[in-house]
Amino acid sequence: MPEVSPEWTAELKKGSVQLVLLALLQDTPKYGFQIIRELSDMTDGFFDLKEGTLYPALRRLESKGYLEGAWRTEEEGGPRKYYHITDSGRKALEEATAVWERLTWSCRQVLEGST
Amino acid sequence: MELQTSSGGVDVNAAPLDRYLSQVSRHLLGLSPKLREDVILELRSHILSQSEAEGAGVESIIERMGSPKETARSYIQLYGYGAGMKVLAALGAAALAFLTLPFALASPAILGTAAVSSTALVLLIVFLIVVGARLSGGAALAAGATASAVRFLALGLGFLQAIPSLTEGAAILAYVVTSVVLIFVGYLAAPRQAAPA
Repeated sequence: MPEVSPEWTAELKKGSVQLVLLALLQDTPKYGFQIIRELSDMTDGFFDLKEGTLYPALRRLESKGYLEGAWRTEEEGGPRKYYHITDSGRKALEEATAVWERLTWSCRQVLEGST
Repeated sequence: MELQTSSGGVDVNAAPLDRYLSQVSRHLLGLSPKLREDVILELRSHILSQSEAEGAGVESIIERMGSPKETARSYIQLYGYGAGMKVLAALGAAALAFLTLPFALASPAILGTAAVSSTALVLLIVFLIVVGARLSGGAALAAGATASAVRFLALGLGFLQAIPSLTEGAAILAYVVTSVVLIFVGYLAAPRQAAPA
């Protein structure tokens, strides 16, 4: 994908990372590296988060009370911190999804209207 | 990856991993010990998971992650430097503020001279600006307020009465204005909302 303005792309992605994370975690708890891989696979590499972006983002959501992290030790691979969504996280996801839908709808209206 | 005789998860590359993590940890000194440990454990878990998934050595994963300082920065941006650093900054500011007082301390020949107090004042301002720029506006505000409080306390307690030059209204006014300015100096030097990472 040719990028005329990588900063702009980064800005757009950044604005949606929290929504995407909440959505990904709404059914099953997941750990950091798993999240990175699943997001990248699901979006054909578009959301290719660096650990320096992902972990602080998860912790930001945790400090807002939308996610909770819990350490689990598995047979292989050592201890991992799994993040699961909370009730208020679900509520936030619902609201953010509604906003997201209005946003994409609105953008589309303008994009189509101006051609 | 295929033919390596890796004996049951024993990590030969533990040394570089520990070294890297302890360097990151050092850059996170302001965070509470518990939080710091949590961050480091999570990074360790991440590096090991990625190494396992890609069949790549821990060292090559670390190389791609950027320097320990860079890795630590995103957490610092998130959590700030923690209360410990703020207290330390405030104590430093208080000590410097004490030296700015234009009255004789122990030895009138050395301390309390105009040279000492004005040098201390310059140092204090530089200190507050550094606190604002490196820690946070809040930390600078707290440190500045502490410094200012020390100076007002000295004035209020009458310590400065002994100095003839400070009984003039203009001198007192300058002293008061300087003290007030000190509160905000560092805060104004703090960067506005950090640039997106």
